[in-house]
Amino acid sequence: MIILFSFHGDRITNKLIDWLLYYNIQFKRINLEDETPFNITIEYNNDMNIKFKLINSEIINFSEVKYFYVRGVGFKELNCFTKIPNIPQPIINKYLKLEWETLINFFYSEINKKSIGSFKIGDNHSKLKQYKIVKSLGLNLPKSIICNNLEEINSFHENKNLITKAIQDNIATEYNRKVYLQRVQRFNIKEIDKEFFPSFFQIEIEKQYEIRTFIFDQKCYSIKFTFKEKGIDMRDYYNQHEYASYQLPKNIQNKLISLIEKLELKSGSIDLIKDMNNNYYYLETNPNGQYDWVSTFTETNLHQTIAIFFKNEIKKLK
Amino acid sequence: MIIKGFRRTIKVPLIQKSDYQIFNNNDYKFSQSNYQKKINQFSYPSLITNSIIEINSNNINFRNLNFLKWVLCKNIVIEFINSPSLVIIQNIINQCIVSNVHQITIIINHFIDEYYSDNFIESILCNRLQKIIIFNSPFIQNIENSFFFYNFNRKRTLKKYKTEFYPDLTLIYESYDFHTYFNQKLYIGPSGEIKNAPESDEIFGNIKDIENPEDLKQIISTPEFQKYWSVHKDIQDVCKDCEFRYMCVDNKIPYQRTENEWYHKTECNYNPYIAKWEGEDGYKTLAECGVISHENGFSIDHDKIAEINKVLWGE
Repeated sequence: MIILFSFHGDRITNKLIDWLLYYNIQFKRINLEDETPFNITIEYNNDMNIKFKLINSEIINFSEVKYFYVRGVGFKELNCFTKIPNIPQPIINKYLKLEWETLINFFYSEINKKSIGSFKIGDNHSKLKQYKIVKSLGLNLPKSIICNNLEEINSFHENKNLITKAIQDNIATEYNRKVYLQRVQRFNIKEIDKEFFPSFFQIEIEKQYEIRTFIFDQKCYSIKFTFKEKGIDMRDYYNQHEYASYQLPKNIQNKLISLIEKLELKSGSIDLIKDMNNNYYYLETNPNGQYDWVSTFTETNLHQTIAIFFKNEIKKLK
Repeated sequence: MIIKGFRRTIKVPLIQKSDYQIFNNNDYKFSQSNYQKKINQFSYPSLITNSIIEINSNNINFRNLNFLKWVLCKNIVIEFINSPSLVIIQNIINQCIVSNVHQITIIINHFIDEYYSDNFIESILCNRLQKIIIFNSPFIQNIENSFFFYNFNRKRTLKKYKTEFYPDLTLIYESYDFHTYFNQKLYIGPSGEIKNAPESDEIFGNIKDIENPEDLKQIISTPEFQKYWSVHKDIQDVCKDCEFRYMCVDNKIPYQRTENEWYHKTECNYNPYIAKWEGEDGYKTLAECGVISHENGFSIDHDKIAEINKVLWGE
C-alpha cells in the first residue's frame, strides 16, 4: 500500500494517481485538511507501531505502508488549548504546544524516512544546515553573511550588489485570506541602519540562467530559465521566463545527489545559478519541491516515473 | 514556439501560463532557433481524458459514474437539464473524487433559490475541484471563480471567440497529432447513449448496458469510435493555414475527402487568409476571398487574397 498525503484539489496528486491506477498499484489518498492529528496512536510492545485513524474510522497501520508520498504542508497548527484551574494559560499553552509538536514531528519524521516529498520538521533542512553540507561537498556558494550590523557588511560586500533573503525556509504566510510572500531583494547599503535584526546577505551573482533540478531516485531532472528583465526573485516576471530542458555536468549531478542523501531526503528540488563564467552556484534545496513544471519541460514524465518507482518498491518488499 | 499561419504568426512563450503574441508574417523574422522541438512526454495513461455527461435529474436514479475510473477520465462536464438538488450534486462530485477526476464542471440550466445559499455554496466549494455554471439565474455573479450565475440561456455554438485561445503546452502538443476536441472524448447522453461527442451522430451502445471496464474499453477502442481522433488541424482545409490551429478546440465535425484531407461543412467565423473575424470591418467569407473547400477539393486564389489584403492592410 502507498499512502498519499495531499490536500483537496491538488492535481499533481491526481496525475500521479492516474498512473497508480494504470499500473494497478494499491494506494490511499488522504487529504489532511479532512483529518485530525489527534488520531495518532503509537504503541510500544515488542516493536514500535504507528497507527493513524482517519475520520471515516479507517485505520492506517504504518507497518503495512510500503511508501509515502507527501504534498502540502501537513496538519493545521494546534490552536485550541484546554483550561486547567490554577495554572496560567500561557503555561498550559506552551506545554501542550510542545507535547503536540514533539508528537507530530516524530510522526512526520517516520513518514519522511520512506517518502517522496516530505513534511517540514523544525529547522531540519534550513538554509544554514544545507550550506554547511554544500560546502563540504565542494559545491560553489555565493559569498554570504549573516550579521546584524553595517560594519560587517561594509567589509564583506567588495562593492558588489548585495541581495537579502530570509534565513528560514518558509516562503509565504497567510493572514486574513491574503498571502504574504517572503521575497529575495536587492537593497542599497546607504539605506540601512548601523544595527538591525540579524539578516542574511549574499553577493549577487550575474547569471546566464537559473536552473531547477528535481532529484529523485538517484537521478537529476533539470530545467533552465532565463530572466527577461533584471529580475532577482524568480517569482518576478513569473510569466516571462522561457523554460527548457537542461543537462547538468555529471560531477555537479553527483554532488547534488549526495546532498539530497545527506539531508536524509528521498527527493528534493534544488535551485542553482550558472554565472557568466559557466560556474554553477548552489542557492537552496526545497525538500518539498514542485516537480510538475520540471516534468512539463523535460523529456521525462515524472508522474509516471514516480509510479514506476512505487511499483518496483512494492515488488522489492514482497 | 512559433505557429505560422497564412497571414499571421503566433509566438507562444514556452511557459505554462501566458499570453501569446501575434505578428504579421512580414514583420516576423523566422529563424531556426524559433522552432521548438516537440517534447514528447505528454503521455497519459487515460483512454478518455474528458467526458461530457448529460443528466436529466428528474430521473432520480443517480447515474453510476464508476466508468470514469475505468478509462481514467481526468476532466468532466456534467450538464443537468433540470435543477438538481444539493444531494444529487454532492453525490456526483463524490463519485468523481473517488474516480480521481481532476476537474469537474457542472452546468445547470435552471436556477432555483437553493443554489444561492451559503449552505449550497460552502458545501460544494470545499472540494476545490469544480466549477458550477448556472444559467437562467435572475442575476449575474461570479463567486470565487467557482460559481458562475448567468441570467441568460446556455447556447451551444460552433463559433470561435478571439478571447478563447489559450496557449497551453499540453494542448499545443496534442494538437500536432490529434483533433483537440474529439480526441479521447466520451459523451453520455440523457438516456445513457454513448457517443464520442455531443456533436457526433453515431451511437455506440448505452452506458446502462455496460457492466464491466472491458465492455466500455472495447467500444472506445474501435476505429469507428475514434474516427475523428487523429484528424489534426494540419490535415484540415483552412485550419491548416490558421495561426490559431494549435490552440483551437473546434467542435465542428470534419468530413473526409481523401486519406489526408478533411473539410468542414460549416465555415469558421475567423478567416485566416485576411486575419479578420466575422463582424469586423472588412471581413469577407472564404468564398469571397477565392478559397474553396468542399467534398470535391480545396483551392486558394492567392492573387485575389493578395488584392484583398492590400486593400485591408495596405500591403
